[in-house]
Amino acid sequence: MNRKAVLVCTFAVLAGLLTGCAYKDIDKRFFVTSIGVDYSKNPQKPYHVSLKLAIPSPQVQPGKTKFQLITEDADSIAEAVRVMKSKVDKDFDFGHCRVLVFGREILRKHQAEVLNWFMRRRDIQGIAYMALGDPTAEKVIKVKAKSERLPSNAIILSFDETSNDSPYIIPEILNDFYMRLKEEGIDPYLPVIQPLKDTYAINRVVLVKGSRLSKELNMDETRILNELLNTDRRGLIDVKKDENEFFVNVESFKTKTTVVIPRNTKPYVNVHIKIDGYIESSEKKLSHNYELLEDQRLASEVISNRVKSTLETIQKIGSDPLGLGLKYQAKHGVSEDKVKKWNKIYPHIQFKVKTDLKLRGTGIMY
Amino acid sequence: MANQQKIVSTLKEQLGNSSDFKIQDIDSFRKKIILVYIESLIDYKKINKDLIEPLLFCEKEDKYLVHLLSLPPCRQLKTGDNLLSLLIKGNLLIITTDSIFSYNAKKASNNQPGDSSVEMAVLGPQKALSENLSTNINLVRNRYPSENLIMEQQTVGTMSQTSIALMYDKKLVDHDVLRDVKKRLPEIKMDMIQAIGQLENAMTKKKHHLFPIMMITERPDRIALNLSQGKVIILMHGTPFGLIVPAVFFDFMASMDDTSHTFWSSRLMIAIRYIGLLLTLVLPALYIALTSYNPEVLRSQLAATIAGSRAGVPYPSFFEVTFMMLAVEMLVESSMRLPKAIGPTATTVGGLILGQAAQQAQLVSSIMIIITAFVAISNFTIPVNPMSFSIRVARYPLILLASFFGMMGVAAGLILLICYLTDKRSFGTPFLRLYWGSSRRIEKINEKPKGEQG
Repeated sequence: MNRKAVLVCTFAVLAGLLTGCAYKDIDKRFFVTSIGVDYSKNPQKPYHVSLKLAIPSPQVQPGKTKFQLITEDADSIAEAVRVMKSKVDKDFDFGHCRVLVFGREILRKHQAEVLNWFMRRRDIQGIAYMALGDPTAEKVIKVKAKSERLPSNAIILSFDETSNDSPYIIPEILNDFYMRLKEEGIDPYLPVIQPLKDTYAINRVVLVKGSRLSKELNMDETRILNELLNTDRRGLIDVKKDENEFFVNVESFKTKTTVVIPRNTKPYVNVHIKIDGYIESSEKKLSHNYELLEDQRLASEVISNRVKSTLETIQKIGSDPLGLGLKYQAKHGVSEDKVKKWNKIYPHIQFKVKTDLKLRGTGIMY
Repeated sequence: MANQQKIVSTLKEQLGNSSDFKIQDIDSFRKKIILVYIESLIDYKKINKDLIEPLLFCEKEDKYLVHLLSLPPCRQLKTGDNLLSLLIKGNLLIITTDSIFSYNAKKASNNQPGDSSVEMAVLGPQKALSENLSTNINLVRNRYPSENLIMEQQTVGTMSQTSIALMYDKKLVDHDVLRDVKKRLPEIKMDMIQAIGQLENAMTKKKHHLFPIMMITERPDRIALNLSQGKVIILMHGTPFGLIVPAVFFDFMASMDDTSHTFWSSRLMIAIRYIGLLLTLVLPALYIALTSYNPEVLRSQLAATIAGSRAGVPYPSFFEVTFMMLAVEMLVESSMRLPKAIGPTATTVGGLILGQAAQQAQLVSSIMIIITAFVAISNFTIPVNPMSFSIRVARYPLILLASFFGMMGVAAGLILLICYLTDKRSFGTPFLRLYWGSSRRIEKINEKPKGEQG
């Protein structure tokens, strides 16, 4: 009994000394909220890394975010982070880093190395949003958005479907990007962020062909790609033919894409779009149902044409963000031959787009 | 005649100079009748009505003796009986020339049931048990009018000789539990037993135990309900509490009000209680784990706020938690035994001023104040007092584990706690058993024989 007591006391005292290294209070950590990686134009130290560090304050108010931006050139990201640690008073914590912005040049030149670091760090979350900074990542990170309560929170909110459902924003997270990169038959894309004064513009997307950065899509193409990806982001469809111009507010937008390889004829991709919506704005008066049906037919036609041309643009670029290759593999197998065969088919495949548009009404005005 | 005198003088010798020891000689039927009793224990009115008045009316001794024996609390003693202990228990001895009668004329004290003050119910019955055993038995019998209700009387405590009553429904009772209780009661070696909690501790075999395995209650309705569930009730003279054996964890989370609410509102109350239980158990530990080991679990907004409010705090988070927990425990402990007039002052000074000042002085973060208040309040949602004490104790090992191992420590601590509870037995009944309905309908778990456990 006595020995037991002595042992317990000893352990208690020893345990008191063992505060260890994992114990670090939240106020002794510097939260990195976003990371930007650019090309530094110096081939010896190609990585220009910028970190946005949040300075926490007990009162959170919109527009009152405080942050510190530090940058460093180094021959690897890991090295840059290590050097940057000597510039600040607290340890970095990447646990809340949700935004990763990359410069175009660095992805062209060192994409694999860059991704390697981000994928390997256990404290960088797989759900971190990736984006391309235009013109540079650092300039994007530097922006202090007027509305944000936390550094970089504005970008996170823009990408988050629950807070922003603009159809021009296509979010891409780290895990998904990596999956698309490694997987045959599906290609990644990155949204492009442009810094503005006090805010950002995110309305384009850059496609990746194979593992190399390729061309950007324009705003409208971006929107159509977004709709084809079956995200819940909804928007407005403008239809203009001759004198008749009207807008359709989209309630739901569903697409079904199938790859069809018939025995005798040419292979084609069947895209079936189902849209529910109502008229938001119309030049002409809509007093009869047949006028609505006429508009409906017109809009379906316009949408089909638009989607078709977007798909053809993407096809021309040579990228496959919709994963048509995966759909082909699902039917025909995953062997190397099949992949090669698909790579031959894809540039010449035809797109057949069919749109079922249902106009629910004319809005609350005739 | 000589015999009579001899007995009286022996008693006199034994009880000595006690000034409330009375000997009364009555000459009647040309014989001497001696009444011996201890004044302070005796109800005069009762003696007067039952013994003295009939004596004056009776013409013959025989008739009087018949009258005596017809009185329910009166009996003729045999040679082996211990006169002294009978006296001390409040009996009056009637010594005639030939024989001795004892007559129980004990003065009933504290026999008014008071309002329930420990386990309150909003809509349930409002009266609690009294401090008088026979009143209590009466209360229980009234609430449980069944011919199967058995009452057995015993005494515990070598010096206090406290009388206790064992009550059970002979048809529904779990006989293994009953046998175990009956075996344990005589084994208690204690001089003074005056509170039911003492009896509970004496009956529990393990010395270091955290969770109560018997339930103390002051509510006659709970006792009656538990009788119908096949449990054994122990009532003790001198305390307004009864002991329910066996008790499982979920009994301690049940309030008597649950039966009187509508279905959904009682479900909500029960759910709130369990959430409260979880919060009061893990919240302080979770705070340490989240702020010092795994802040990435929190939302960025919250992490920034916590970091901001902790920025001025000079000590690590476990110190902060220990400090605030100490404050709140002291507050609860002090306000528990304070006279009602001072109580509110203590809570105001302690709760409002101390908390506010500690935060202003940047000794603790504002989030910690919220957590402290939350922990204290949610602890009070546990309806049975001893369980809420046990839960208060149980959160400290979790705090310790959290400050050494973070989230993993909290998870491991909770698993350990569940393991401990699973292993626990209350008189052979698994402590975490899900319990509803009467024991008849519950299948017995026979992997381990009952008895000898818990």
